[in-house]
Amino acid sequence: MLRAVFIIVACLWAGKGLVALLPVPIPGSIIGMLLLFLLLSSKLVKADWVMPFSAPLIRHMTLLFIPAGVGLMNYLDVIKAHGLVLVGACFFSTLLVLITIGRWHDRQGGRRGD
Amino acid sequence: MTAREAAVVTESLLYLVLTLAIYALVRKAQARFKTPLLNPVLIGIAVLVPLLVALKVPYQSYMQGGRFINFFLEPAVVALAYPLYQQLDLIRAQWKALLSTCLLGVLVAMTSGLVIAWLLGADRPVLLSMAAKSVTTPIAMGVSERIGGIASLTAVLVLFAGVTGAILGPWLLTLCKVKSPQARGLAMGCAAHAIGTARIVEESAEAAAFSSLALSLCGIITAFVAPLVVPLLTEWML
Repeated sequence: MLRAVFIIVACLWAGKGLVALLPVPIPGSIIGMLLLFLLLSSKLVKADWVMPFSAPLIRHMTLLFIPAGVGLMNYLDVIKAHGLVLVGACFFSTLLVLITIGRWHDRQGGRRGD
Repeated sequence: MTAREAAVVTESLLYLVLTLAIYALVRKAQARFKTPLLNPVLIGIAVLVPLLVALKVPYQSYMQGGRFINFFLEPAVVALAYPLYQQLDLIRAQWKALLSTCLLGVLVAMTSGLVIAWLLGADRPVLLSMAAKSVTTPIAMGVSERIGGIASLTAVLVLFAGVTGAILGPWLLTLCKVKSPQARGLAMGCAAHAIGTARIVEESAEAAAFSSLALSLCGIITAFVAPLVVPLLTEWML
């Protein structure tokens, strides 16, 4: 467990360090994920080493978004002012992406279920 | 410890326990009732925001307790490398298709958000805030700021896109006869980033892997493409 925590936190910190040097707005956690992915793919880190910490984190990921989500309360006035436009555009755009990508990749991969 | 400090600690613990309790209850209910409305993020917001607003509790006070949960968010993103790694062979064999699908996803997400908001009569800052709504919060906020949007507004839209995708995504994909776990995962990651990924984890490890792959690829692509494409589009619109 300790080793798993250490590896994941080290990747996160390395990711954040790298991002500080890059001029693009990429979050450190994403770079950290790619780093860990590279370490796992190159067998420098064994999958079993990170399992004890990564498995529970992923299983309970939805919990982790609740505090950030509650932050919505800080923007209630903006939402009131532009509510319908924001909700409408965001809603339909999200559905459009889901359909486009789902259909596109299903067809492209030759793995259509129908 | 003074009485005031003790009160702060007690209050923080109360918010922490309350958040955990809501999560545990929703998860328990999920096991019994199969409805997408039982989403821990949605229920958490729907219960906590009105409660905190009614009691005039500022967000910072809530976060005194909430930060203990929030702290694990970044490590959880790093941990997504694990399901990604489990699908290494599949990813190696299909990297071209994956890359093109994610590029398409980013372009559709950005342009459709902009165009629909434009048709609905949004003004410039709102329009620009819409562009990065389909990628994970830290990238979305950075991109929004960079292209002249309101970062905090983008954060709200990211959440809304995530919740919309998490709740309606699996149902919509089934309706559109998208059955392969790969395509379902990619669609969820492209449209609903981490919240969508957290939802599709429940479906299968393969879908989760492709969703987290789409989430990271789309995030990076957006960070590079948005500052190039969005100013051109909005220049033409306004």
